[in-house]
Order: sequence, then structure tokens, then C-alpha cells
Amino acid sequence: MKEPTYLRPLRWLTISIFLVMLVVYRLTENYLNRNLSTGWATFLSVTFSLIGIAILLILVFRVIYGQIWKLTLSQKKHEEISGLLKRSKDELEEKNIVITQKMNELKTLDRISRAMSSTMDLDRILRTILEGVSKHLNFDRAIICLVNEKQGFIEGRQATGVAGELLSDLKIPLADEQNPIVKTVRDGRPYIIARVGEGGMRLEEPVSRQVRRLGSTLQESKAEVNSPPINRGGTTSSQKGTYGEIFAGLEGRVNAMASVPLVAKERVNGVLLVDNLHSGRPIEEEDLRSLVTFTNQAGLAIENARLYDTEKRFSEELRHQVELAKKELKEAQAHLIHSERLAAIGEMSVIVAHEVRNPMSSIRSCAQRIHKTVEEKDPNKKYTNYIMQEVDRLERIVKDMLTVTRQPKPNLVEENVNRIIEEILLHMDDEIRKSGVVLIKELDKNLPAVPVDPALLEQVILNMIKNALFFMQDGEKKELKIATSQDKRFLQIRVSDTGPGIPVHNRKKVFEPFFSTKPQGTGLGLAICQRIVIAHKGKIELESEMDKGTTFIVSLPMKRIREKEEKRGQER
Amino acid sequence: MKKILIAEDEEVLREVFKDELTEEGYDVLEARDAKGTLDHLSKQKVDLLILDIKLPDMSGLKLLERISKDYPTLPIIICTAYDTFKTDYEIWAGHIADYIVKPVDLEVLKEKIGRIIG
Repeated sequence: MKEPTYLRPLRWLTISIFLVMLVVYRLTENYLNRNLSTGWATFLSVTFSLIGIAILLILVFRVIYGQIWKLTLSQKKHEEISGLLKRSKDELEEKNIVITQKMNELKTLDRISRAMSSTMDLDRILRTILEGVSKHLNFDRAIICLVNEKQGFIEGRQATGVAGELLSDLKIPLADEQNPIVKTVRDGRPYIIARVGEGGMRLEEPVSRQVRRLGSTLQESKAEVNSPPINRGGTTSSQKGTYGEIFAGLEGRVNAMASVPLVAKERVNGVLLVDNLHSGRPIEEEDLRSLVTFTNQAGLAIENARLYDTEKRFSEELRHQVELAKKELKEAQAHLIHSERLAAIGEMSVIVAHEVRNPMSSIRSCAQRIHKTVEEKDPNKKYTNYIMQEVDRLERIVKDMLTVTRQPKPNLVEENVNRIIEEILLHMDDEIRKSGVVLIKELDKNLPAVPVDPALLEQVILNMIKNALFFMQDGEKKELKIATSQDKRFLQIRVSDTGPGIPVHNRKKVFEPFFSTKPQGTGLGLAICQRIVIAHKGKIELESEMDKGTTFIVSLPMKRIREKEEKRGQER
Repeated sequence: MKKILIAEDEEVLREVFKDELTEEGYDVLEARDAKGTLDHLSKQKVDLLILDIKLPDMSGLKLLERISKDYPTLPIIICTAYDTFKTDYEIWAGHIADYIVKPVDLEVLKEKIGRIIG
């Protein structure tokens, strides 16, 4: 610092005055010595001398003061410079810390975002996010809640440091606009949920504008700073699945938790809740800043995973649909082939039947004529009999073939099924007894009459009984059980044998035409039975257990049910 | 002696029927087609006609209509290889006395004839 400029002329003025006074003093002394008395002269001389000394002293002091002033000035300057230095050093250090922090943050972010983008699995991404929050951002607890727009809820999906029940209970309707978590979703900006008194909460917006800006990628800015306290009083802790729950039982330990939106493409996918339960460390602006930077990244990863998930689910659904359609097509094709096959057989059968029946008729009639002429004891009688029997068998085959390809048209009359069964058993009495089979009848005496074609139903029951007898031929236990029963909708006829049973892979096939395990079977019997039963609007099923036996169950609709169905059919 | 006309294109069957019915004491005439059948009917009085519904030269229904128009009192037994005849019976019912489905049991045939003209 320079000496003030006004002092310079003053200094020269003082010296000049001193010199002038010295000259004046000498001149005056000479004059006085010459003109005045010695007393006056001495007096005046002393006075001037004193004034001169005073002025001299003033000058000397002035010089000394000037030096001291200069010294103080330089000292001040020095202090100022060292202060400046210190301040810039501090600033540098501070900046250094910030940069290191930022670098660490970036590194962490990079690591986490790399981990996040390495997978499209939402749960894995959420785990990575939580790991990042707890390990790198040093929060004790963290919960990720995801928005379920379809159901109108925001629900806890994954958490770290939080009990499972708490997470599964965390389900907040999006309509609950007072809820801070919902508010975070709606406003798309971070909040600090601070504890106020007993169970009360207050929402606070981050003070730092930077954090606010970072957090709010949405364009809306509806949120008020320092929203009024909400849910004050004891109601919070009783609310299931709200933040009150989260705070419950943490008396005096957690004072605040941060609620940060997980945003991507201007859409809030969820909320990240964090707090410091164990350390009790308050959530600082700085923490929130890192958190927000981090959640912006996390939000994108979640969005990507969600999109991927949606697409995956869509393609899976599509694949499923295609598979289903394929299966249906295959079934339809099989059905078509089956019906086409039947139709072709039908056409063929009509032609073949006619062409075959003529020579068959000739053979039979010839045999009959020979048979008549042969003596009873003659072995030829047996052979002519065989010829006629075989022709009859051929005729049965032809008839079956014609029947299976034709849609049976039942001529319905109301008939008691028990009576039909009794009649069949009467006819077959001999055959059953000869085969050594024990017959068990369990006929429901209260069976009502149902609409059936007696001739067709007889064919069905006869077929089932004949099958049962055939398959018990070589068995040790031979029991034929015929039972009838009823429920509200159906009348049931059950024909059970104690035969070898039907292997699982054959259980569906037995109703297919031309499937037979009998050496002389045409494989048409059960196919015809099924067609007859279906023509009665009933169903035929089987239950079988290997080495135990088989039961065929014919269910015929009760009169009332049948009429109802017919009515419905007509309405359609 | 009752006269029976057998109209049947199957030669063996016709012959067997003839032998059986002759033995039974009927006077049996034979025809192999519609033309032969109509010829026989125009030449003499026949007591019963056993008619195969599918003759080579004329449709069964047409022939039947013609015969029943010209000879309304002539009893006819239809002999057919179609077992659907049972369901078609209504169409023929006004024209015929009975029907029999091949392969024919001679006893059944004789029983039917006996019932009609016996």
C-alpha cells in the first residue's frame, strides 16, 4: 500500500516552514539584539527556539508515524494475502472432495448401470439397485415399490433390510393422494418424509434446487414446498401397508426417510424408499442428490426391463395362442380325417354290402338246402351248420360297418331301463351260466322311465355284456356286475367285469372304429355303442384298473334334462 | 297249384329259391330282369311275386309302381340287399305285402309266403 499523496506536500511544507522560521529567527535575533533590550531579546529568542523545537519534534514524530503506518500497511497486506491463499486452498480442497465424490459416484453409477443393463430380468435389476443403494450410497434400508397401473396400486416389490411381511403388506391404492409415496409418484419428485411427533409425518421437499431439479424430470410442478403435515395423530400406524407401518416400531430411531421416484420417459414406474434405521444418520441433501442421480439411471433400467417383460409376455402369449390354435387345428384335422374316413367307409360299405350280400345269400341258401338233406349223424351236418354260421357272422360285420358309418336315429319311447336289462339277461342266461360267470345285479328299483330307443339301447347293453364275458374267459375271478343308478341329471348303467383291464394307452382308442383286441372282433362294437349313446344325448365312459377289471358307464339324460336341452337347442 | 314268380338277377339265388319252393309244392316261374318279369305277368296269372328291388334294366320303384298299377291284387315280397329297406318301408308300404333282407333264410322266406298265399 502507498503513502497517502496529501502527506507529501505537507512534509515539504513543514521543512520549508522550518527553514523559513530558522532564517526569520536569525534575522529577528540580529534585529532584536540591535534594537531591543536583552531581557526581551532573550525572551523572544527562547520562545522562537521552543516553537522551533516543537515543530522539529512534530516533524520527527511525523516521520516515525509515517514509518509505523507503512509497516502496519504491509502487515495488513500480508495478512490479506495469506487469508486469500488459505481460502483458495480450502476451496481447492473442497472442490477436490466434491470431484472425488463425484468420481466415486460416477464409478458406482457406471458399475451399477452396467450391472443393470446386463440383464433384462426385472427382479435382478431391482436386486442390483438395492445393492447399489445399500452398499454404495450407504443407506440402511431400501424398498422398491412398483406402480401397478392396471390394478391401481403401488406395491412393494423388493427390499433390503426390511422384513418380508412388511414388503408384502405394502400395497397403497394410487387414489390415496395424501400418501407421501403416492405423492412421490404423482409429482415425480423426491420427498423427505420427516417424522413429526407421535406417528405424524411431514413431507419436505429437498432444499437444494439442484436435487429438486434432478429429481423432477416430469414437467409438472404441482408440489408445494413444505407441504402441510399430513396424517397427524395415531391413525398412521394403524393403516395397513402405509408409510406409517414402515415407521412403526422404530420409535426414536428413524426420523426421516427419503421417497424418490423411479422415472423413465416421463413416466413414474415406482418409488425408492430409503432410510437409516440402524445408524440413525440423518438424510443429508448430499445423500439425496446421489440417490436422485442414481434413481434416474435405475428408472431407465426398470423401464427397459418392464418393456422387455411386456414384450416377452406378449410373445409368450402369442406363442401359447399359436400352440393352442395348432392343437385345435390338429384335433379338428384328426376329427375331419376321422369323419372323412367314416364317410368313405360308409360309401364303400353300402356298395360292398350290397355286392357281398347277394353271394352271401346264395351261399347261405345253398348251405341251408344241403343242411336239410344231410342226416343228423353225418359229420357234414356240422359243416353245413358252420357255413351258415359264418355267413351270419359275415352279415353281422357288414351290418356293423353300415351302422357305424350311419348316424343312428333313435326312435324314442319312454321305457324303464331295468326292464331292458332284465330282458337281455333272460336271453343271455344260458351263455352267462355256461361261461362260469357270477352275475351280480344292482338295479335301482326306483328308476324312472327315460326316453330311449329300446332296440338301440339293447344293442349297447348287449355289446357291453358280451365284451365283459369275452375278457373274463381266462380269468380266475369271473364277476359280471350290472348296476343302474340315478342322479338329478342322468340315469347310469354300469357294466363291470373282473377281466384284465384296459391299458391306459388304449382307453381312448376302444371307442374308435376298427380298434379291437379281440381276435375275431371287427372293432366296431363300442364305436357303434358310442354313436348310439351320443344319439341319445348321453355319454359312455370307462373306468379300468389293470388286473382288476373294467367298468363301462352309460349315462342317459333324464326326461326333464333332455327336454330342456332340446328346447335350448331349438332356441338356438 | 299256387304260382310264384321269382324276379332275381342273381342266378344261383334264383335257382335255390326255385328248388326250395318247388319242393314246397309251388309252381315256380323265373325272371332275370324287369322285362322278363313283365312278360311273365302279362302271359299268365301269378299268385305271388318275389321281387329283387334292384334289377338291371329298370329302377325298382318304377317297376313296382307299374306292376301294382297293372296288377293291383298281386301280392309282392321284396327281396333286397339293402338293410336300410326297413326305414324306406313307408315308401313301398302301399305296394307290397312284405320284404326280406339278404342273406335270406329260406325258412323265413317260406314262412312269409305261407302267410300270404298259404
